[in-house]
Amino acid sequence: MNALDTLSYTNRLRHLPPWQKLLFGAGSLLLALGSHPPVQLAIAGWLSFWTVHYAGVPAHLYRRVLLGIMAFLATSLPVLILNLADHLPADAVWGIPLANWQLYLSHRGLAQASEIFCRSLASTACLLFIAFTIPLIELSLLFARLGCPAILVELLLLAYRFIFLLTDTVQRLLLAQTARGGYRTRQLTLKSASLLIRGLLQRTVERYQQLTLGVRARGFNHQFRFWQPQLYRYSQRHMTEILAGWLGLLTGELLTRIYG
Amino acid sequence: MVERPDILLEFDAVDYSYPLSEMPAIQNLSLQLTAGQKTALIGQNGCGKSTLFLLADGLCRANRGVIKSRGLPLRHDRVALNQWRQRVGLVFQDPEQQLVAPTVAADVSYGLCNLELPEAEIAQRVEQVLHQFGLSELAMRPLHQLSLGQKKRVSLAGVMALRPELLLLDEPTAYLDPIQTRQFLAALTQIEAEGTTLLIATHDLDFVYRWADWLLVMDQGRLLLEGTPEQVFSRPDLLELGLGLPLLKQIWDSLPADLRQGQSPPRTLEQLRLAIRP
Repeated sequence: MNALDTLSYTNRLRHLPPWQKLLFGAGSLLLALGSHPPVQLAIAGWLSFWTVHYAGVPAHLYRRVLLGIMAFLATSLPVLILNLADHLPADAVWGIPLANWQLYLSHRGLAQASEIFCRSLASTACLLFIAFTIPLIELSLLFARLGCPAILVELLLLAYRFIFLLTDTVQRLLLAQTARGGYRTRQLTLKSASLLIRGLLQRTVERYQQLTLGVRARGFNHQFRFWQPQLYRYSQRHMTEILAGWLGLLTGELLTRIYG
Repeated sequence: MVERPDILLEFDAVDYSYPLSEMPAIQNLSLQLTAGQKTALIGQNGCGKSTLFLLADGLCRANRGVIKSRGLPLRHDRVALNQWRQRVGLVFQDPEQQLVAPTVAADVSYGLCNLELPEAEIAQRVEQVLHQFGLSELAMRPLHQLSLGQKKRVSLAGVMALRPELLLLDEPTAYLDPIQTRQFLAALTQIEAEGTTLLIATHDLDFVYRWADWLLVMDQGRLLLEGTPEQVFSRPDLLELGLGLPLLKQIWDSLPADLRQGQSPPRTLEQLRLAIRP
């Protein structure tokens, strides 16, 4: 979470306006949802190239995050690939008998699984591009400009601030417990974890009370409103590349539909 | 009673107890802060320093007594409180307590947005304050990526953007390393030079001794004594209050009487050097 947040502020595409990056990520996502697997694989490769090469996100970190998400998605694939029936159907690729049943892989199942896998891969690459290159704050302010209700944006911003306060509190408590051997045995681990949760709740309430005083001291009037400087530079070169890429992908999709 | 417009903060026989607490946090407290006077508030933990600040900023309501600024009493309606807090700024000991926005610039703008100022003025004031406190480079940084010293400066900048005439600082150098302390104190010197009056609550007696024009000593919610640092630190009963003496004062007191004769105690190392030079 921290690495992702830090990179969203320090990546090499930081100077591009958030709307340009969101347009690219969201537009490619839409394309990925409506295209065929070869085009989806091309989208995944293209977006990954932008994230790693243009934005400068370390390749090993990007690979780890992408593989982590894909591994999670892959756990749902066996349900799609493997089928159980009382007889082996005609489109079965492979099968083994299980008592009176047949466990088999079908052509249809494999095609469906590869389609879902490619779509997930492309969508994940698009979302990771957005996550790695646009800080959440800028994203939420962009949503506000696009007409998202102010209360939702405020909640998002406050939740974002609190996530880090909460992680900080957890880390401090964890450190204090570990330093005093709180996690030496399984029994102690359980006990320490329960103390951690209790302590976390208590400190969160304390923090809430302190923050309430803090915002009142700064003239809180039942609305969280901020101003942010706009320090972005629109890039025509990047925009041309995006449009040319989309055009290429659309052509590819058209050709796949005609000849595929 | 004669109203004095140069009195930026006045407590007149103020009492305050926290809800459900039997012990009063502030008892019959009366004090006056004059514009332009560097005042420090000292006392042991739990003596009421932070409560005094909460009362002075209208965050707690006195059970008895009156709090005034330039002769005008503090009223607890929303409009009056907003006006009051624009004049009297409060910087908490823990910066996390008052940093609410996701980024540095957004946080500095928070108080200004609450005043519903025009966007152009907010932008101008934020940029000015960021520059003044050396935070321009960090404008778009999220707050959780800052060091404690930087967070302290952001919290100070957020209050100073409102241009208060009186600034209350609760333990401003607590937990800071020497470099961060120096940077923070340099920022305070600048604030003071620009005409904002400072009231600092602290345990750092060495700092108080060289910095303050006037000292307030609190104990158990009461104002025990006040005076110049020389007057306060010459009191024999100070040790009983658990306060001790500043290092310079201890060194001065330990020097032979003939060396000290006819000279007022030095408040800085430089003054000490000059005083004992043969």
